[in-house]
Amino acid sequence: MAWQRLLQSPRQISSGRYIHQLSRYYCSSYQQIPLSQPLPNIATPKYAPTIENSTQNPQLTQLSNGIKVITAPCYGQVGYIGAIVDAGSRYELAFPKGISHLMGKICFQGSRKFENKEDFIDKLDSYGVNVQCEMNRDCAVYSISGFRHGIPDMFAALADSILFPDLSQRNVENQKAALNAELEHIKMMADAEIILTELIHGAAYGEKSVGFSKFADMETFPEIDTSSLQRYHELLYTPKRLVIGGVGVNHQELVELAEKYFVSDVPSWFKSSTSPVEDETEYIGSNMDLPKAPAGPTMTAAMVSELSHAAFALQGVSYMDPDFFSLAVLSLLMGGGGSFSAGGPGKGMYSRIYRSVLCNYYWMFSCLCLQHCYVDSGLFVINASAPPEQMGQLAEVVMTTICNMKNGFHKDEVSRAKRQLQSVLLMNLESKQIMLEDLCRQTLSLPAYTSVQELCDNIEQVTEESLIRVVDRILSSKLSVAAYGNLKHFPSHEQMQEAMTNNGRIKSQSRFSFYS
Amino acid sequence: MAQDIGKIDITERTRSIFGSRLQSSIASPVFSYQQSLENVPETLVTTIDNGLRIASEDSGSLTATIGLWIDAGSRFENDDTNGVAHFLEHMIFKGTKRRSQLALEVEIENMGGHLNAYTSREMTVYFAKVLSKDIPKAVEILADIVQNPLLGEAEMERERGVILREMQEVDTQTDEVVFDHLHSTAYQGTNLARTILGPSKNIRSITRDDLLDYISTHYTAPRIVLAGAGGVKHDDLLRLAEQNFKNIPTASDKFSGLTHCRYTGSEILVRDDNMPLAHIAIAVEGCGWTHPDYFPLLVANAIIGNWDRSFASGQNSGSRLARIVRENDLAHSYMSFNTCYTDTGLWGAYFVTDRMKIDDMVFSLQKEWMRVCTGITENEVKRAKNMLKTTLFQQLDGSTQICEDIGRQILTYGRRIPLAEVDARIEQVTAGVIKSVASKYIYDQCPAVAAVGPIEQLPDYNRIRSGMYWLRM
Repeated sequence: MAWQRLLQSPRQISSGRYIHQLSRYYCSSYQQIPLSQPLPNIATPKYAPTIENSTQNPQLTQLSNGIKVITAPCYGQVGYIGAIVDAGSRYELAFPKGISHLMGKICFQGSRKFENKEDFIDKLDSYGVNVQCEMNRDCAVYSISGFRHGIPDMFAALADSILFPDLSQRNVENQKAALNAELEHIKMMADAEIILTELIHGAAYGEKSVGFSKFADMETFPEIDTSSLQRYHELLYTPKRLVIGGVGVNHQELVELAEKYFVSDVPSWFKSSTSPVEDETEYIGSNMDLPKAPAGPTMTAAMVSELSHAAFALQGVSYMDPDFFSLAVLSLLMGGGGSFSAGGPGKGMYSRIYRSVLCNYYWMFSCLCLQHCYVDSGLFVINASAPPEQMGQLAEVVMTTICNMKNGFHKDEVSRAKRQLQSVLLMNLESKQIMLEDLCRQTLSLPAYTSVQELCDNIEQVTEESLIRVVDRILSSKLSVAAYGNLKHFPSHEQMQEAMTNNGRIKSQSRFSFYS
Repeated sequence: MAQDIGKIDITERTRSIFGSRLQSSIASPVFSYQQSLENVPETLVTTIDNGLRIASEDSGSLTATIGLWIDAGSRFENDDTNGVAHFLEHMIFKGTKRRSQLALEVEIENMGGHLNAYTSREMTVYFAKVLSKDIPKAVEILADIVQNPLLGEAEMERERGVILREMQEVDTQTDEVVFDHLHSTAYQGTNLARTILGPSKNIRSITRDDLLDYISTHYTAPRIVLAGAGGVKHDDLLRLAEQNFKNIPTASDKFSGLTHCRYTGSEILVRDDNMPLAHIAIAVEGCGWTHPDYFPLLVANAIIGNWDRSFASGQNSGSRLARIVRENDLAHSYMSFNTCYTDTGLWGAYFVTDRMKIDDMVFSLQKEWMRVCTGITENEVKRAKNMLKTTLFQQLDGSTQICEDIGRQILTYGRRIPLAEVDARIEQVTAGVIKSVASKYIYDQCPAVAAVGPIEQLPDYNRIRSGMYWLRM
């Protein structure tokens, strides 16, 4: 009706007109077909056949300069390529500490062919790439994923970023600033597991090799510069220490690309094979405390209920060790987690730590068993968090749990842990990113690739006896302890060392102990 | 007799992509983009006699995810029963007539599996992740828990406490709170306004009969999809379904069908100056799951983009708004969302910002929305389409993600859209399409606003409303 039109504000009339104009834009290409019906003019869909038992052996080729290239097929539109370098914080002896962390930060932030990150993203954007560079204690993992038809360009970018990173003064300063922001963020997040992992490595190995923190330190920052980074790069990034991997990539294609970018078109220093200065990894077993929690201006649950955190470690085994699988089963058998974790059955509710620790002590906020493995050593760790006034009891409960391992295991819990370990392994390999990392890591550090089937068989062979043996082995080492937060009630390292010989009980007259 | 609806001729599938199994080494060929879209196993769909659908994709791997996707959620409740769907999800793991809670948990743990569930406004999902050889056990367990739950009184009493605790947990997650408020204002007076957990009054009063009533009304065979991905044979799954689910009824007289939920542009403000940051969601009414405008709206989402301070510095997500927000420090984070239901949806953005930046952030966001309606360029759309494809295709990594996709698609579309068609549908979206679709849903529409925190600076509703059009183009 006419009067209705009059009541409308002029704006609405103008917008109405606008929409009217726009409706003409509706392109002929855009079909108004609901999603429940197929588009009419589309070809009959085609599909790939099922590959039975799709844990095939990957293909491996060694290039003339010693670089190994390994690939495995997968379904989907996305290809994953990457490289692993035998570098990382454990090789920092002759360098300013934290140089690895910065090296990882600099990757993909500019190189010979790319001015900076924006330029990099711009040039590879059409393949929908995701890039990642992770610096660990004992290796650097570089990876790019994106649509498969973009593999050649993605690989060229990967090689360029690894071999020709922009180590200019300007970029180094920029990345230092970015790293500073990241360190602030890590501090603010105050993730107990991350902090404890750093501290317990320091406690277990001291200031050398894997004992070095993988995070940069504000104090050593000024020492890192273009020349030290170049030195680090040339010393560690050599053909022998490098493996190239691909998942969902044609093997021949990747080998040809690797030949082109890692054999022909390489910097002049990329031939030498001097071995880096590294001291021997030696488990010392000591303690390391951060008296105050690295607090940030955050409003997290931690503020509502203050928690203190502690990690207890024994010398574990390296991944080359015959006892490796037994210890892996043991750490899953111990299990544990958060006291309020979400999720249904299957999160390890019947593991030892759940049943004997988390179910019995209401104040235990979280308690979790972990394993860290390196080529020459390893750690068996239990992390635990509780309110500060409970830290004395926490130490006793955790040490008692550790000592109780001596008393043997029920065959049900062993078979459950074995099955869970096999399933963790297989389920992790569903992720192609993890599969890529696994291919590269294995090729770098093991003499031959171990298939999933072999891994599962190895786990199957773990018995109660081999668990007892590995328990005796780790219990013969000195206890390492790391803790942070309010530690007023936390026992001294000597008390705890002594307690380990007393089934975990701390001898003390002054303090109440509910075990005595 | 079983009826096939999704199978295509076997001879279609003889073309080998990975090479024959007899070859010693298996190679992955060089793919063009179009070929790579076909590099997934087929999703087979079969309906059994009572109407239950079985859908699966077999990748031949050693692990699998199997689950029940049920067309039931908090939307089907009323004021007195709000919370029943979620309560039931909790109770269903608490033992059945055949196995106690302990036996159920030990059985799952001993096979190295995982059992999980979630409830949304329109969907209830129970799924198990297991080794492929344990699929028969997993299907039997899923069938047992939904058909014979014990729903013991003692367990119910205990679970009331657990759910009340969960509520406290949800209350601390401000984004969840804001989205619940957004629903309560945008769908005021309808079923979608209610929360999934329900009010604590209901949690204390829900009875065993309420739960049984909910099952008998909504857990009917045609509303259930048994989905599987990973190493799962369709024929085996079909046989297992016929064994385990044949007794689920086809219809229920108590179910009266879906009632439409009306959208109302409006606002809800929860001012709390003690909170450090303001959490704000602004949305317009989007489209339902199956609407042809679904993909154009997703592309529009990708144009607006997402951003978070903790993204590595200088990282460019390609979106113009992200750049503006970063350069002017307008927010700690923002994300654009497109929440769909059967007949309606919410399209908008959620952001977390400082109390003194709210006005500027709202202004910049709305300015960007208006630009999407009026002046978006072909290049930006191309970039956004690519980003959307990347997200959609890359997230199908792992059997659980794939199973989730299958279950949801079968429930909402009645089929699994082939990737080539997804690609074609996204390709059809041009700048012209974006402009007209955005004009239909966004331009001069009444937004729904939900804001929590120190929000004094949030412009009043009429000013936000007047940011939904431009006087000059």
